[in-house]
Amino acid sequence: MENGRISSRQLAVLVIYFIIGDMLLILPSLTISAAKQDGWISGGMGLLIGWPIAWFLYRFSRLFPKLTIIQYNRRLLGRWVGGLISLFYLYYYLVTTAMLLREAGDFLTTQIFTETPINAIHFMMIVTLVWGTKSGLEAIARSGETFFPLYIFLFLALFVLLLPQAELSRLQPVMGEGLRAITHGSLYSSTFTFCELNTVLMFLPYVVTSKTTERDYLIGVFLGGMAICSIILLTLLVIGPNLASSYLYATYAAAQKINVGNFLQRVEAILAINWILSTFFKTILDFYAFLLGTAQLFKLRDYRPLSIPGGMLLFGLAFAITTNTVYFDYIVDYYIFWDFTCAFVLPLMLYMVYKFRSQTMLSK
Amino acid sequence: MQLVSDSGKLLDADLHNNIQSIREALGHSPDLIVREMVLADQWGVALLFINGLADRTMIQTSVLKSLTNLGALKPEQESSFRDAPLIYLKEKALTVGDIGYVNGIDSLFTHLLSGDAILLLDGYREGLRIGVTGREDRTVGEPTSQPSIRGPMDAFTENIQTNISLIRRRIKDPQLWLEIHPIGTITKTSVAIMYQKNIVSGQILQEVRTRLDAIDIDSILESGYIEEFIQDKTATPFPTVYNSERPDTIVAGILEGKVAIIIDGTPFVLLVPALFVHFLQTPEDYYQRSDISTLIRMIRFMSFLIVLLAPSFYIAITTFHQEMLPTNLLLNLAAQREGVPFPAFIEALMMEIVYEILREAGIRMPRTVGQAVSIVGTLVIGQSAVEAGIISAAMVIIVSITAISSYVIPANTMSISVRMIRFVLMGLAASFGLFGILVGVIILVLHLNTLRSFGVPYLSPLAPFNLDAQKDSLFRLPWPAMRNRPKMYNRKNPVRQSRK
Amino acid sequence: MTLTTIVVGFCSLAIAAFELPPLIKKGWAREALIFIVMLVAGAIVSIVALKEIQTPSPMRVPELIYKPLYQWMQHILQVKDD
Repeated sequence: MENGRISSRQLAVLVIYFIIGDMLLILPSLTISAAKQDGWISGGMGLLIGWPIAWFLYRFSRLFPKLTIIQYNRRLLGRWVGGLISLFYLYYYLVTTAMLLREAGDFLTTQIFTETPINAIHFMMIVTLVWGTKSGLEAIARSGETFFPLYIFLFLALFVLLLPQAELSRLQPVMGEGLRAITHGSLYSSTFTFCELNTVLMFLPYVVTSKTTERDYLIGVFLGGMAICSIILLTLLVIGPNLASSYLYATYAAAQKINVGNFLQRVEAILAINWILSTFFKTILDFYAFLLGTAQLFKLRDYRPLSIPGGMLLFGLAFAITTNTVYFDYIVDYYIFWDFTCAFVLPLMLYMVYKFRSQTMLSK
Repeated sequence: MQLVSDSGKLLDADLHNNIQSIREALGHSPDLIVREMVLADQWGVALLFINGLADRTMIQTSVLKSLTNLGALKPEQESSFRDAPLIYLKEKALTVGDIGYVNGIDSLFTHLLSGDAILLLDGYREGLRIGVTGREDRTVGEPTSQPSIRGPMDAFTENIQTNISLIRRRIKDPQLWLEIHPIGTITKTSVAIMYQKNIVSGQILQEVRTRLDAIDIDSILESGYIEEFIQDKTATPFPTVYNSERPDTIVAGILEGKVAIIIDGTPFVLLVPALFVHFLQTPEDYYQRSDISTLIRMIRFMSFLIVLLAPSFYIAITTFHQEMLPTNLLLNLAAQREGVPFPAFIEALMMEIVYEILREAGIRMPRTVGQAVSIVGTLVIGQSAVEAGIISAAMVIIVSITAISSYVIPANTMSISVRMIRFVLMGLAASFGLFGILVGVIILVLHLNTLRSFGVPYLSPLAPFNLDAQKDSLFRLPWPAMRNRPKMYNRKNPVRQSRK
Repeated sequence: MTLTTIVVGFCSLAIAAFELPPLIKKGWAREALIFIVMLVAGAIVSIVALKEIQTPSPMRVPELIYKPLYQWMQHILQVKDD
């Protein structure tokens, strides 16, 4: 079914895209509205919580190196129970993809293309998703590598251009909000970044493993986490906690302040481009996970024919997923639990079943 | 040179029947010369050749002379001649370098029509083919399509023998191997492949052979035909086979482990596998100092991006993202576009199409008229259109920069592809601005990453990233640093220089 | 039958015409079946989206599952707010 193989380096690059993903734009607002000026500490805490979870995911997939989680469910829990859990995961991947699409659509239609209907934006993005999944995992990974220099350049450019406007006073009073608020913030920064990484369980089997694979993976996770922390910090430094917590696209608001010699202005498009790139890779990997998982669940020979119908499903779901931004703010908190379930609770349960099984095997 | 193996109908034993059937098959062509003689007063022989393909001087001095000399044979020689005349002629009498046997009608015609002389002996079903080819050919001159500032100035010609020798002259190594495959059922064009045995990847070589043997067409007139047949079967505007008129480029490629494909009748030699970065490189990059070369390579890559994206960016920014321009520039542009009746997209489209027309016309223009056309093109169309208010001056600038940048791309095949694709990007820019361009670029990158040239991923060494090969892709390190050959398509013989 | 429905239906048929024959030729019945199911479902939701009809969000499912947890979290965060 999937004959492509990706290298450890490509895996690390994909992981970085995944962790930064759509969070580049919306995480600062979420963490800062919870923890105000201590949002950056939430970021750090999120990394502390999330990094072990990411490691756990990797180790978990090592239990069945050649199988994706869908295939493993079937093997471990049988056709019916395993199928149920797999459906849960597949629903997760599909809805997450639709959610990401919706975020992109909302962002572009409210900030840049105010006249364009959101369905048109969704359509364009879905065309790229369908094209990408039809091209295969290797093409996706290689494209990630191709864009990576540009991505890093734009990311660093954002920092360099905004640092003149940073003011440390905006971070004060440090720890003023208390540990509870900081923990609240870290709920967002650990789940939306690292727990959503559970998609990796669907393509780790296709990585050419070497002795550096685990190390490369963990380095990628760490770099992604650091990038996220620094973005939260930057946003805080540039626009301050009040503005950041009231405005969903906080980073974009920060980028709008770029002003170099009264000449280079309104180039927040560099953030928009960067954001679309990392969101694209996160979205396409989630979509890929959905298609591959569906094909594996029903024991099909190839997932590629399902790309276009899947795309149509996405088109409809992306529209239906939120009625308005109020609902989005509300539903976002639920995602914490959903991400955590898929990344930690379910794999842990599966691990316990596996252990239990092997114990009973040994005792026989 | 033995071109075709013997097969097909055999010759008749009777000499006159043979001559008659050959004459009829060729339609009694007046350029078929038949010289009948009698050797040693008893053997009827005939020498056939095509006037214009065979070298008459060589036939007269070498072949005819040695045949008439047979009159004065000593008795012992004469008896061995009588026993096996063909063998005697082949091994002892004829003073020509290249002789072989023919015993089938098909191979007889192939050799006759390639310029060999055929010697037929009465009563024998076999004949001799004598290599006396001497056609009118262009002498080795300068490359017309790929000029250079520094480096050798010789170019391939239409004669496959000359071309092979131009390569052999540069690689005096016995491991440089040559194979000839005749392709084309009617034209029977000689197609040669050359490779360095101890460097080339066996897999790629076998793949080349398989694809060449699979070609089943009546004519091969140019290397472009072969290119379309052997390229990896994905629908793509991008070239996956490199071609060049220059021996130094081809030789450099052979030494990296690539396979060169030479086709009789065209000076453009093919080189496989060909990756994206190769189309942005020229041989001069290696003759000039590495810092200059690196800079020039960067400029080339930038030109590639300009050709691809400049018109689209103009359309996107002036239509959707005006706020990105500095205020003064924006005011100027707005003033210019004030009187223009068309939206930016139509403007750009019109100009680009007019430019493509001019470009195509320029190729076919007789040289005397060429100057007038360039003046017409630039002054009249560009200037007047601006003054008439049909297009804006900024648009003319964009189109000119794009046009000039497209000439910076060294490989014509790549430049054409890029020019085609930018129209698609322009359309996307007109509908969705920068987002549309981004979508287009993402799809383009995805597409490029699915391409392979003979099994090697097209965007190597950028993706999959190969650190060692970076020394010679978008920039070039000095020669002492480039110790190894590119690993992407050969692992056998990686070391170019030894460590001292 | 509005224009939207017709257009979407037409596109779906075109897609099926494009993608199904190779599958059938290879004898991949199961893949073709899933393809058709997903295509029909996709067409339906696409029509709904294009007509901008408001439907319950797919996020309703996790909402239902995790409602108790969510309320507990809100409770914890509120209580300590004092």
